Amino acid sequence: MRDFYLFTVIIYSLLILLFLLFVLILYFAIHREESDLDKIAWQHSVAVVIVGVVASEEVEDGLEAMTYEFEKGLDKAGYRNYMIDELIKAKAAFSGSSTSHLKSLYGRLNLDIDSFRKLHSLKWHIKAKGIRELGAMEQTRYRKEIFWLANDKHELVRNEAQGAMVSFFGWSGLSFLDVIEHQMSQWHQVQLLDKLKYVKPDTFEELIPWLESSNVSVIVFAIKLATLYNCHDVYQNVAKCLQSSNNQVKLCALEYLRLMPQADTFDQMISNYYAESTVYKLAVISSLKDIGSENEITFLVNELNDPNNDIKAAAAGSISVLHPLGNGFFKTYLFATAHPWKEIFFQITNKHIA
Amino acid sequence: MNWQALFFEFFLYGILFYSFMVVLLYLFIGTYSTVELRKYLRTNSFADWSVLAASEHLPGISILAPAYNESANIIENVRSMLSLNYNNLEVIIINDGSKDNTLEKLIAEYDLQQTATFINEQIPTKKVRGVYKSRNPVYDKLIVVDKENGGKSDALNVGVNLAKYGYVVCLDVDCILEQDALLKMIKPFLEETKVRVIASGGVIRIANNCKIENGRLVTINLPKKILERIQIVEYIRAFLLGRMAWSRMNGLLLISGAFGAFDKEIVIKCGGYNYKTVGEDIELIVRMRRYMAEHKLPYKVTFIPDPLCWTEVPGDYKVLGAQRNRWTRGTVETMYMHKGIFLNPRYGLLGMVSYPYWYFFEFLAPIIEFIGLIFFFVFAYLGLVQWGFFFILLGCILSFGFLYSVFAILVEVLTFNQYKGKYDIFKLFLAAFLEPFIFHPYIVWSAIRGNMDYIRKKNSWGEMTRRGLNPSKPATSVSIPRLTKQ
Repeated sequence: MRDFYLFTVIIYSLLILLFLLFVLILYFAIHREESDLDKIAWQHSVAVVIVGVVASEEVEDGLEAMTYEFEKGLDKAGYRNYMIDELIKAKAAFSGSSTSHLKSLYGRLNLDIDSFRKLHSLKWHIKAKGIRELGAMEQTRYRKEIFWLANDKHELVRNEAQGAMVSFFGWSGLSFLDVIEHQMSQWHQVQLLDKLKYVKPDTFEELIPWLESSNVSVIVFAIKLATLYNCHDVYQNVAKCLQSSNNQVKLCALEYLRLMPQADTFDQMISNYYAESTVYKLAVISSLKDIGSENEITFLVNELNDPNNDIKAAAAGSISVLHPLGNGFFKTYLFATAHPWKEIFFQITNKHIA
Repeated sequence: MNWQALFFEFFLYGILFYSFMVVLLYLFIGTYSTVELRKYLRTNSFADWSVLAASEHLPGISILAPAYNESANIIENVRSMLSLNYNNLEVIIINDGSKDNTLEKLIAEYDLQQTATFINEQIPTKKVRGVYKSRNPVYDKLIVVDKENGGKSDALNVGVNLAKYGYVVCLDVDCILEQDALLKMIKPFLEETKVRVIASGGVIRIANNCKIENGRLVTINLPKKILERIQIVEYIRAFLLGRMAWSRMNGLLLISGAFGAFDKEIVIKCGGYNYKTVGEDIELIVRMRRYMAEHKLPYKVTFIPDPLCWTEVPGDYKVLGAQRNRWTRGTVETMYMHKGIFLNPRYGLLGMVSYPYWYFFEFLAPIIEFIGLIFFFVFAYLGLVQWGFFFILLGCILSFGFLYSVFAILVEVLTFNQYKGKYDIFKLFLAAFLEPFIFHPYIVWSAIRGNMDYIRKKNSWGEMTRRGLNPSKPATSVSIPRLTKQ
């Protein structure tokens, strides 16, 4: 009988929970709709001000378009956040003087204080959002606070801080590479490289200490930077990276050397070749297509005997480019009619005809 | 106490204990997954996909899509894949010995010509008859492979052998991908700095009754049939709650064969897809995890909760039964092939948590349920059932199941909120309510048949009438290597 009562209690508790969940779903569905409606209502007043500021000679002229709803809305945190988001979107969409007007408007409405306040939040995503806003609106006066966050324990916060530093100062903003202790993910590196695409640095001196950093990801990123900017000055430093124990460092260094070869590049590449991974070997052999000469043919012919078929195929591809006979070399090769050389040579020959 | 009474008590409390464990597990999964979901959404809100889509710094991805008798939709499906937002991409369509004109249609539409291509057969496969590339530079990302029929696993292995990039995305050719799907899939591989991400899975969403134009999803609608709607609730529960929780624990054992990304190097080292099982998707992940554990390499299998991949689900009981039958056989085969992992501390979480979970709560669940049902009828016939107690227990279980489904719907509303029609949420509630009466018993029965077929060594994929996601196209009858275990 006790069990019976126990289960009755359980079932009623579950039903109450169910009811509460229903209420919650309805609440969130309605709340979301309301929040969407709020945004639709705000859209007009915010757009009027942004368009006014962008189209005017002076920010003040644009502010004349401020409506009563706009002024009243600025008292609400939600409205101000919406305004910040719209300003960031507008800044990304416009260029020239319009962006400085938008920055001025951001400052004039004290929205930077809202963003800065987020930096002190205990919640990492709010902190990161604050940094993103200040970075996007180029609020360099907060650089010190943001710089310290470039080494934050939370990955997203430090990524945003590092991104903001690059947004502020371009190449100079990369000074955080001197101090960061955490590894930079490849994803974050891609984002930073995309931000730096249009930045033209005056000097690459900073690259040298980064290439010798104790943080492996900083070395990888520094090699990527050297490759991005075709920086020949650090050739020797990058070549030294081939001695690294980290595979990713070595592969990035190979890519750099392929694009910026010098007389000793091949020797540097094969100094420890036979102890390297297949991926490394493939990268070396493939790069010979671009940087090799007839001197490397003996090496490549040797590689045709490697047990790995990918290496054979890559070596054959490079031989076809470097050998004076071109594809004609394949006919002279001892095992030309045996598997898999026959198929490999046939593919390369066919590709050249096509 | 005589032996019958002892047996009765043992059976009763055994089932009760098992049910209690299931309930506890679901409670844990429900709460554990929501934290991960929230973290995922917050982190991803910072990614600027439009900028990254054009990035030259992202690694290359090879899409591998096996096609068998797909002539009805193949042109639109390939176009959809070629139009994805990703810079460094190759699309490899593997025509697995289709009996229809899939290959001819592709050749004509994309101006393909046969090229001599050396395939380094690192994974043994059936014979490749030819590799085709387009003369038109617009389609230079497209490679079509024609091979002898060998099944989905064999076709995917050919794709792995041919792929030139380090990451492969295995995709059912009839799936519709969101434009940023590849960007979102590659992110976990590049984000991790401490361990190697060996595979990443994506959510499969149901495209029945959705509007699709030129291979792109235009409008999301709830399906009209209740069976399809119930599967929506089931998928939301499985993907948003179940897989998210397992992903957070790094215990994910299954990445759907319909859409998953893999580190090619590890796939090759593990020997690729196993063509001897119909559960090639779960088997590959178990083998990859096993390989990493045996070599003491730190690794991770991740999961993306974004609705990235849309596909058609069975609309009638016959096809649904065949699908679930095959999923069961795939699970049993994988469990058997890797029985050495079971409670083996050498495999860490895989051996001590993930595998036992699958064994007890995925493989055994329908069997225990079925046996329980048989005993219930026997006890009822013998007059041993206390009906008051029975109805209370039944109500308890049904309420909990419904509660869990409603919670999943709540999570969906709070996160991706894909179904925005006026009464869509209520329709989903109704589907969740009806599930235990018109869906679940059939699923249990299909699983039982799957187990029986496994014992009888039946290994067919079954037949399915696919209505197609393009309503203007006629229905086609094809084998079903497309609808894989979720």
